[in-house]
Amino acid sequence: MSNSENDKRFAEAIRAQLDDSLNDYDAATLSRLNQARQRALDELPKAGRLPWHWPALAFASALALVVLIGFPGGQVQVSPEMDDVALVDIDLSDDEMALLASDDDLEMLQDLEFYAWLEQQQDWDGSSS
Amino acid sequence: MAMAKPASSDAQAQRVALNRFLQEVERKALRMAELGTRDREEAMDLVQDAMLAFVRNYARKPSAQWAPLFYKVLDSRLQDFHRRQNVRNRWRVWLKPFAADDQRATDPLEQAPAPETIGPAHQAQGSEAIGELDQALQQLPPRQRQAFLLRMWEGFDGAMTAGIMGCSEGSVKTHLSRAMHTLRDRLEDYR
Repeated sequence: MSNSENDKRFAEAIRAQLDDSLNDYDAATLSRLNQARQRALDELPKAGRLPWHWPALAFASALALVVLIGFPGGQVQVSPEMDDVALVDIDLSDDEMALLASDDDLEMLQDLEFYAWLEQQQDWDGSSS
Repeated sequence: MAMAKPASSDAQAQRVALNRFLQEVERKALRMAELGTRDREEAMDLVQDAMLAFVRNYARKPSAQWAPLFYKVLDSRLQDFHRRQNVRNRWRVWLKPFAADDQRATDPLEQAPAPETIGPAHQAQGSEAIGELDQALQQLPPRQRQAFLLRMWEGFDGAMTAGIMGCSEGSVKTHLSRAMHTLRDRLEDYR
């Protein structure tokens, strides 16, 4: 049997096992999932109302611009009036920077490329069918 | 001439469609989150958070885009979880010498059990009950595990998986190939 056939069978066996495991959740867990789902559905934007996150999105965009332009590379200029410009290296790791930017709206800004790509995919699917 | 449907019936139809979609993905999402966090409670929180963010931000998107968008939100929540863990672990290392200096000091992070030993599954059933497959998947690096689950379990193609994970298609291939290699080594019974 070829390697790719082996890989396929191997992946199918794992997939089947994972699918089976979805039936192992007890009633309490399923009930909690149901509650989480209903809570999420209660957040559905009301018809005709601007999405709640628009003002926050505008604020987040402005904040992101200030951070990017004002503090490039995580460095903060402490006293701009001084002749000798003092720089404090905040030394935030990638993880910490990402955590600071983990708000939904910033996340949406970062993912714009993905949404544009998704739209494109749908256009292609639509035109090909 | 067709009558325009009232807005409330549109909203109701959208709620029904979203409910059906979330019902379809919620168990898989919980399973993925459990494999990533090794903790049912953490996983449940992540799934709930992902559902809320998905509905708030993407409910109006065409339903064909819901699955990748939902998994992107979930993947992002999982990445945040791992980042928090990394930061926490760095603090644990940093705080360790201080704790050694003062044995009376009780740092909650020091008292926390290792990730391998927490979680209701462990508490309720004992470590033997956690399947070989779960252990093998849990031991994979997070990005390899996500690439494997999205590609091989959820069935997204390489480009979509890359979009969801926010990396290149080449990276997905590399993650997937390494994951397959490791899993083959660890799961002899599945071969």
